[in-house]
Amino acid sequence: MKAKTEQTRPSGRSTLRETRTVFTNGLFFKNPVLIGALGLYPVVAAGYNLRMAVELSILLFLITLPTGLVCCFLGGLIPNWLRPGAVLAVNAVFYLPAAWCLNQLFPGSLHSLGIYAGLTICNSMLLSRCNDYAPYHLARAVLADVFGCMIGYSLVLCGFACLREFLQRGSVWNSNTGTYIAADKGTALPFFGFILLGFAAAFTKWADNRRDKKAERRVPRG
Amino acid sequence: MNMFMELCLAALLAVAAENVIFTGGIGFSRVLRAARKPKTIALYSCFVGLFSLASALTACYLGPVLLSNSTLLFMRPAVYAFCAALAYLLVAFVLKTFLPKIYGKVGAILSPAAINCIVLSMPYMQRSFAMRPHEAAGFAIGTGVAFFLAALVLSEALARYRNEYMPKAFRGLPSVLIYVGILSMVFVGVTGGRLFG
Repeated sequence: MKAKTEQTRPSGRSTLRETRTVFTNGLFFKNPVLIGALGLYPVVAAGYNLRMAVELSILLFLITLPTGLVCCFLGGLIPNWLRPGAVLAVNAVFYLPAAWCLNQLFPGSLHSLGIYAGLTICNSMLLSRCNDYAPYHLARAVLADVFGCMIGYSLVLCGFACLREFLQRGSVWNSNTGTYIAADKGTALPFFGFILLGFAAAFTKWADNRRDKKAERRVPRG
Repeated sequence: MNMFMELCLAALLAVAAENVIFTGGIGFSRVLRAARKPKTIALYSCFVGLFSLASALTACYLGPVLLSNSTLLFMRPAVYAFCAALAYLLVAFVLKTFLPKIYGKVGAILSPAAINCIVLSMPYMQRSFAMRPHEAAGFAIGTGVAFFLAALVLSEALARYRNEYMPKAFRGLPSVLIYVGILSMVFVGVTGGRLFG
């Protein structure tokens, strides 16, 4: 079993800084979708209107948070070869209350999400956070990672869904914007999601490269 | 003979018109990771096909029970996920205990092949197309082949998308995503729409 990676007694300020770094990495610089290419199907295939995107984000969050914490506290006790199966089983258990809550918040949402609700259990972002990250880190870091990744993931999912819904219907979540772009229904298909994602990933990479260059310039020479 | 032809047709359907990866947009993260290790693509795809087969056959026999009342229907995704976890644990245990040398070689690809959206989408595909067990088996095998072909195409593409003539921001993942978008568009041209709902 690997040891938990944070120092045993870090100072308050450095702990806060580390937690913030973990959070911002998940949010933008190591965004699970745009950089990690994890959990792409909700973004490319399911997230073609804002309502579905919000529902999927909530469902994913409600599963990721408890599973992440369980894996953080108990994951280290499970042998490596057993862990993927165990994590999937834990996800399946937490799916039930999460799906129930979602259906209470948005009646009929499970029916409208169809296959995509069920597939959330094996979302690769969720599996990678709970299987590879949570067992080796402290609860504080796991929470920062879950919140950072989930907000980063949801922003991409909901942002794309807004654009796609607007292009297709001229409205977002049943509120008419007054302008209408006569786009084809193709904007709701996976290929459009892949192309949009490609450009967004390029933008993130460009921003990341710029940040690296700035950091290099700050380092004193000689 | 008739049954065999139906199995083959279902397999062809999975590779071409109803391709889960390109038409459905499912399992792309796993395909991309498989493509990064070209030497293991064939073995990885075999396991994907095998676990998809197990998932599809489970759905054939368990599906009618799970559809019998609303509580079971609500629990259906969790039940299928449990079955997938069980299938993985069973195969991993058998290989680890009785064939440790083989487990040493395939251990790293076993869990991503067993636990992914492609495998878990099989029960839904079986239900959407109302497939009989032999057709579901053909579809699962075809999905394994589709996974292999997609990973093969991407492994070739990944090497080319790092060339220096390409704008720096587009090198690697961004250009692969755009490439897959174009490939997916071709599949839409064949099917004429979306795979799910």
